[in-house]
Amino acid sequence: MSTQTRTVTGQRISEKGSRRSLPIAKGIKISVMLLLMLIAILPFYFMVLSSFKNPANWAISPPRLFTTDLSLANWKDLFETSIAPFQVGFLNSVKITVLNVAGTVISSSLAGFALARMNFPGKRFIFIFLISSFAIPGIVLALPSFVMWFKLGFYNTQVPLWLPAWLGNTFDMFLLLQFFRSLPRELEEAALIDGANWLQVYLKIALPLMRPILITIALFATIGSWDNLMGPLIYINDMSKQTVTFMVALFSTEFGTQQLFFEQMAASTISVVPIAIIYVFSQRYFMQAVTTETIKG
Amino acid sequence: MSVPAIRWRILSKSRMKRQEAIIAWLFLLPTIIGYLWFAIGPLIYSLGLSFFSWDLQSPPKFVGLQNYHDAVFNQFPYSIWEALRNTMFYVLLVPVGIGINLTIALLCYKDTHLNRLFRSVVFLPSIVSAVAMTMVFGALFRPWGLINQALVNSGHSPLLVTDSPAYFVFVVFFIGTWAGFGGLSMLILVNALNNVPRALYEAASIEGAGFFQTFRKITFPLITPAIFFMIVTGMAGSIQSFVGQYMVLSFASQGEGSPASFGSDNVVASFLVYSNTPFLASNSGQGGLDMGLGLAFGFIIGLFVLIFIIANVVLQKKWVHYDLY
Repeated sequence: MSTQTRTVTGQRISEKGSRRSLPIAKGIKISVMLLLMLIAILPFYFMVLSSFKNPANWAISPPRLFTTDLSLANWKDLFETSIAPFQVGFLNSVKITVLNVAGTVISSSLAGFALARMNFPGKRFIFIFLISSFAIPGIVLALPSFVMWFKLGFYNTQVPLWLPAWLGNTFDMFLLLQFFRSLPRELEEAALIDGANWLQVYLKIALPLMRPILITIALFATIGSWDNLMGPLIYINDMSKQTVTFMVALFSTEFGTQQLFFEQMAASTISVVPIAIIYVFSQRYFMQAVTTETIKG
Repeated sequence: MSVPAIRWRILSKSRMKRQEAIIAWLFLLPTIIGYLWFAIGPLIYSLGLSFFSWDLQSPPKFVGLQNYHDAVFNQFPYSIWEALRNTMFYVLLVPVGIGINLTIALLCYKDTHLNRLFRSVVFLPSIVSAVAMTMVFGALFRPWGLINQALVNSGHSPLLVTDSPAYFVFVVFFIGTWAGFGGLSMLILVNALNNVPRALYEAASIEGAGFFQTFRKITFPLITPAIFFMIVTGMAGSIQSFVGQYMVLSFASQGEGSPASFGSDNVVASFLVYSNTPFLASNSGQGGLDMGLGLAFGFIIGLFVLIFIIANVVLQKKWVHYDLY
C-alpha cells in the first residue's frame, strides 16, 4: 500500500517537473524524522509513566515501557513523606520565575528599544560597552557575586535569584535590537509627529510589534530560571526557600536508589510540566521569531 | 514666518533632542547599572580578592600570589591540570554536537507543515532542566539501570559511570546531546540554511552537482558564520560546564545519603571553583573553603576561555566566509 502511494506521489512530482528528491529518499527522510521525534518524546513518556507505576514493582528490570498497573502512590509519597517539601519548592519556583520573566522582559526591551530607535550622544560607546559583556566568562563571576550577596546580607534569601533580571540582560537586549532592525519605523515616526512621547511610543507601538521576540525571550527566561540549579545551590541554605529544581537534584544526588526511582520520576514530572505547558502555548510565536531573520551571530 | 517663531522652533527642536537623550539613557539605565553591578564590579572585586585567603569566617588575609601558585602546583586533591585535561574532552566534542544538529537542520530547514511540526517536537528536550533529564537517564546508567542489568545478565561485571573516564565523558555527552538536539543551535542553523540564496542551488544542479558536492561547495561555506558562532559559544560554555557532570556523577552514588565524589580522572575544572562555595565545600576533599583560591582557579579557567575565543577568532580566517551573500 505504502509503496504504491509513494510511486503515485513520485509520478505526480515528475509530471510537474519540479526538482524533488526521489520518493524512496523522501520515505527514508520521513522515517528518520519520525524516529527523531520519538527519541525526543520517549524520555518524557517514560518519566510520566514511571511516576504512575505501582511502587510495589520497583524491582522489575528492565523498566517497562508499557504497563497497566498504575497508581497514585508515588505522588502521595512525594507530597506526604518526602525528604523535601515539594509544594513549598514549587511555589518558590513559580515566584522566582515570574519575577525573572517580568524583569527580563521589561528591562531588556527598554534597553533594546532605546538602542534600536532613539538617537542620543554616546550611543555607539554604550552599545560596545554593553556588548563587551559577552567576552566575560561567567565562571569568574560566580564567586564574587556570591561574596557580594553575602556581604549585602542576602545570602540564604531568594533575592540573588531574581533581582539581576530586573537590571538587564545584554544577550536578550542584543536579540531585541536585531529584531527591531527588521521592523519598519513609520508607525513610530508618525506617532512622534502626532505628539506622542517616547514612553507612549514604547508602550503602545513598540511592545505590540515586539510580541514574537518578547515571547521568545520570556520563554527562555522561564526555562533559565526554572531549570537553574547553580543559583539555588550557591545562594540558598534553607529547604523552605529552595526551588523545585534543587529539590529534584537532591533526590538524585542523595537518594538515587532504585526503590525511590518512581518517586524521583514524579518529582521530575512536577519540575517539567509547567515549562512544557508554557512551551506548548508559546511555541507558535517562538518558532516564528526564531526562523525569521532575528538570530544571527 | 516671523523671527521669534523660527527661534522658538529651533529651540524646541534642540529641547526635543535633549529630552530624547535623557529618556534613552533612562531606558538604558537598568541595564547599565546591572552590567556594572553584576559583571564589571564583581570582575574587579574578584581580581583583588584572588590575592587574599578567605574562608568567609575570619577576615581576609593578604597572601599575594600564593593562591595562583597553589592553584597551579598543588593538589586539592585534584590538580587543575588534571581537571583541565578532563574538561578538554567536552570541548573537543563540541563540533560533534554541532554536526549532529546540522544533520537534523538539513532534514527540516524547508518551511513545510511537516518540518514545522518536527521542529516544534524536537525542541522539547531543550525545555527540560539538566536535573530532571539526568534523573530519567538514571534508568539507563545507574548501578541498577538498564545497561548494568544487561551487562550482569550476559555475565559481565556492572559498570559505574565513575569506573572509566571515557565512559563518564560518553554519558555526559550522550545526555547533553539529547538535551540539546533540536534546540536553539539547530534553529540558528535552520535560519542560516534558509538564508542561502536559492539561485546558487539551482545553478549547482544545472551544473550537475550532487547533494554532497553542493553541500561542500555551496551550503557549508555559506553557513560557516553561524557554525563559527556556535563553536565559540559552545567551547566557551563547555570549558565552564559543571551541572551535567555533577548530575551524571550522582549515577555512581550507592544508597541513601552517600553522594559520589569526583576522581582525578573525571573532575571538571569548574568544580575547583564551585567547591570553594559553602554548599559544595563539604565535597571538595580539601577541608573547608577558600574564596581566594576558588577565584584564582576561576581566573585561570577564564584565561583558558579567552585563549579559546582568541584562537577561534584567529583561525576563522581559514574557514569562515562572511562575504559570500
